[in-house]
Amino acid sequence: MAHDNHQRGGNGNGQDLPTMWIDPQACQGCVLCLKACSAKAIRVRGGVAHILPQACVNCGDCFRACPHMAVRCRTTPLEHMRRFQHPVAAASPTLFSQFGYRTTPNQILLALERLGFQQVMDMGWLCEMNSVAMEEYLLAHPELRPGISPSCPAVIRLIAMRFPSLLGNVLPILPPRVFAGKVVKERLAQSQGWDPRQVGVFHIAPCAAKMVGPHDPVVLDQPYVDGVFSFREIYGPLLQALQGLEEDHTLQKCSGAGIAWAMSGGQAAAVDVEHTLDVAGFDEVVRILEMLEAGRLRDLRFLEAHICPDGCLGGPLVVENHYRAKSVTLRQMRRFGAMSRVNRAKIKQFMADGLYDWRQEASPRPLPPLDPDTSQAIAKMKAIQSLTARLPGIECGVCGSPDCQTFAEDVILGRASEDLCPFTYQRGGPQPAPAGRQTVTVKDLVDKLGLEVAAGAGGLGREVKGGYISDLLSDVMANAQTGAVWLTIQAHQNVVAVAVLKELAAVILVGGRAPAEETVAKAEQEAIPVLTTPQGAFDLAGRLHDLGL
Amino acid sequence: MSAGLAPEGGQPEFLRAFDIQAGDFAGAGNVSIAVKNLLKELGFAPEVLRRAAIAAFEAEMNVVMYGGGGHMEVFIAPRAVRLVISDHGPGIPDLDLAMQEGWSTATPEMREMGFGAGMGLPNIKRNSDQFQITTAPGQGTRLQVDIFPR
Repeated sequence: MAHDNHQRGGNGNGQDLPTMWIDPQACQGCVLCLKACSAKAIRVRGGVAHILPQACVNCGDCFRACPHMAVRCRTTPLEHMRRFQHPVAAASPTLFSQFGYRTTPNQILLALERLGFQQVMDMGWLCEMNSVAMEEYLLAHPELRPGISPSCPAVIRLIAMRFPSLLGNVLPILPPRVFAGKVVKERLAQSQGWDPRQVGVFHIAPCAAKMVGPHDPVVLDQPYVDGVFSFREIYGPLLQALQGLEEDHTLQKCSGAGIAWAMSGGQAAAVDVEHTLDVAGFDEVVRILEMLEAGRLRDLRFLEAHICPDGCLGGPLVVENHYRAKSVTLRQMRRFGAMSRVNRAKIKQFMADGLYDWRQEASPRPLPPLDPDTSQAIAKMKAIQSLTARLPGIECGVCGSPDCQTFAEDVILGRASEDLCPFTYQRGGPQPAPAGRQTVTVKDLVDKLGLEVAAGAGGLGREVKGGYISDLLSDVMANAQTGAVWLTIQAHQNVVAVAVLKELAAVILVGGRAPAEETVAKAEQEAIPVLTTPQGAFDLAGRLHDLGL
Repeated sequence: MSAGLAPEGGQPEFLRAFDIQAGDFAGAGNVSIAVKNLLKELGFAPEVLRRAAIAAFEAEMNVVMYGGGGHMEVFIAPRAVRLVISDHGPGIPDLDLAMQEGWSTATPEMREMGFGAGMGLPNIKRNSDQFQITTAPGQGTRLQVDIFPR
């Protein structure tokens, strides 16, 4: 499984790491993820795809599209549960759909217990409770039209970025996974006499979107959820635990309503208010949000929106085919009945106690305009229009941008050079670089010298124009050339700042040194490749010379 | 017809035009969404986006339902958004009546879809800072909406 970098999105240093990333070693530089990305958050530069973190909503479409397994999801490795004396499992009810018709939710919950979790939450039950809480909130706030379910973090991120005016519609009711963490840490730990620092709540999820960082618009998950295990990773161990399982006690409290809660339509059916709507899939969600923002759908009281087709059953990290998962879910719904046994008075009490309250409101994170100055923005938009008109409009993606319009934006905003388009050449556009001088990219160095990419894979397409060796930052500031690779033993985060300021191609940490955590985060953010090698600076410099630098 | 006051920041310049198809209920709203996204990219404030989106949507629907098709042009200055919507329709015989809230010529089918509340033109006017309408029987209708950031 792919969690080579296992840090949580929020690693305590104030930086966000994208929950999806592309392994440059496995990436073939094709256009499949570029084309699959509805958010237009991928670019292929120098033969390597990378994700623009500020535009990515963590939908997972790139992950689904990549045939080379180059797209990785940053989830928590399973062994992290051993870091806590009291590990607690809070698995999405979607997990109940992954083991066929005959395996019941209770068996799956018992199998989780067998894996070593001290407490296993029946999230189906918490989901049913959540429906009641959302319903009560809607009834108490008739002016809220519609209330939007906060359950899909990718949708909330999409709203914060592209529909900030709708953030106020997101229901301020903690989604089940976070509620589970809160209940465990604020109530269960006390009643059991557990040291709260030794309680680790792990969400078991069909996607990586729940790995959020502190700068994410929805920081609800923290500090209640300590990690996210993917279905794919826990599937094998669970399958084993299900073998010869003795069903000697009952953990399942949920009915079919909870089992189907995360399937598209599950919440819209369970929240009993007039006029509910469920929508699933990136483009369809955008369409509905556009309508809402234009002041339409005024009758709507509740909106359930999932970024994945069929809701969480179609999550990128599920194991079961999502049509079959749906069939299993429908079967279990019939078997356990759709009538929820949740006690409404109890939920009202929880709400009055503030147990469902958000710690912090979701904050807007709008995509930046073309320019902060409107006159400049207008000029840039005109330049984009006129460049778009000169482009072929066949949306081939060869330039590394997802379509001609976005390529024109990238060129005008200085993120791409116009000669990347193979068609403007033929029309007498910019000429290719004179033959005889090969350009060398950072990726070439990685491939030829066997360097490890520790961070900043987004910048592997940078051109290398020379090299510089020094461990004194001021010396580098004074003397390194633009486009140089910098060989150093300094591994702290200021190295990245210097590389950004001097527009260096990459930083190579020699002598087997590893970058600090902050260095990794900063390098990811700035797309400055940080490479590592056991070789010393002297040997490596010699090999760089041999490559023609 | 006067060109309207030139707002501070100069006369708005033409930026882009969009076609609106007659009777295209399925695609209706797409032009106003495109206009809103355009303004968003230019960095106009949410308040401007909101007013422009409402005005554009109502105008677009009028062209779809009554106007027999037409187009919407966007003009921009740093402190002004101008939308010009023209159609090839029959024109509006009694403008005073059409500007009254609640007055509508919508068919039952249109009302079934939630249109025809008779709020379109008044709603456009309410959300604009300058509003001009030019119409005559047989001549089509031209609407000019100016929105100035507050």
